[in-house]
Amino acid sequence: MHTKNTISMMVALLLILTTAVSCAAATDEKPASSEAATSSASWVRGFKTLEELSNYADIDLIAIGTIDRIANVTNYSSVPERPQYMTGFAFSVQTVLKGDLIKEVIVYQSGAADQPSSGVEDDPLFRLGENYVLFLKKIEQTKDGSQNAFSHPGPWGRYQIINNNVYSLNHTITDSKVYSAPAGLDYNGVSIDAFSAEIKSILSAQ
Amino acid sequence: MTKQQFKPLKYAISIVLALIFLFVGGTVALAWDYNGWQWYDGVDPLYYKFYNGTSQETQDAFTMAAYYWETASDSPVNYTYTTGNANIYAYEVSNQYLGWMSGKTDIEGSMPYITQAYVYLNTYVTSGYPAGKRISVAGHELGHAIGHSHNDWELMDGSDYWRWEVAHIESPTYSDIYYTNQLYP
Repeated sequence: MHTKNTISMMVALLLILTTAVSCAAATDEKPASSEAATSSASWVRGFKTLEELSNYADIDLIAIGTIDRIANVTNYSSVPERPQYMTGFAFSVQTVLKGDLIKEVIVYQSGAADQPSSGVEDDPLFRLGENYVLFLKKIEQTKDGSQNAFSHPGPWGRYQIINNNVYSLNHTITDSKVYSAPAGLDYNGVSIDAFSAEIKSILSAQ
Repeated sequence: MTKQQFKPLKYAISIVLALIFLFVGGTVALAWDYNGWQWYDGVDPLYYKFYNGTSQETQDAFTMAAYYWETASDSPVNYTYTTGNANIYAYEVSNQYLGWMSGKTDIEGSMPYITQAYVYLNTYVTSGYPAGKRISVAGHELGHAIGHSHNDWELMDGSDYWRWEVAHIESPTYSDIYYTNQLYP
């Protein structure tokens, strides 16, 4: 009887040790695998609630629309050894919830589709045909004088619409390790009508 | 309950306790987010250098950030400046079109091992920052370059506003260093 109890505790201890080893990030052997890359960013501002995001002074435009086409791809680095690409996506606007009416804006992101892993992991490149609610800041005094250049505050500023339901990024094309939406911005399938109504309610309360 | 009835119950209790420890241990270990990369030879030393054209302001930010990583209590990291070949290249860009992004880290290698990392400050943003906030961004990028992902309310918090203006974090926190040691035991 005593022996069986001892064996049980040893099995339990073995399971604990196995867990500790398996949860350790370091490995002893260097496995062979293909070349890969990843990019991470630091963002000027994060947001905790839809109210905070909608009312933020630098959010000039809240719009519902579709990623229509790639407008431009630019190398913005001045270091020859280290090119850095950004992509301007044409976003066809269907509904404006905040800001001036406009039919199309160019939304800029870090990365380029033909430069693998050049996009930032918590702000993956848009894909053509995707529908979004975007929270955007107008880029003033652009180099080319364009008046419809905008940027968004990373993962907090984009909500994908799938089958008329709204999702924050952690429920679609990233996982929670890459972007963990705060509770107040964690949307997992709320209807676009309800989402829009909530934004309108917030804005009208100002 | 007789002794014979209690025997299997004791075994069951042992197994349940083991499962509880397994769950708790796993949860604690997974409470920190890593980006899935690490340096095969560790982080002592890690050599860094600046690309030509990097302003003194940006150089100072990265230099101080590297110093903070190295001198934090129990830190395993030894960032060493070099004029030769480096593990990490630091530089700057100035991009108004990516005006929400203050810094960026690119990691290259054979998963999960980093062979090269590049970190930059977007001076369109960071030139308007106080020096301490700029250092916090540089330190954040250097944290990505050794394998950390975003973790709220630490140096690895992804938002400059929360990290520096709200939480007043400019150098690696206890958790930043603790989980660095977990990655590089």
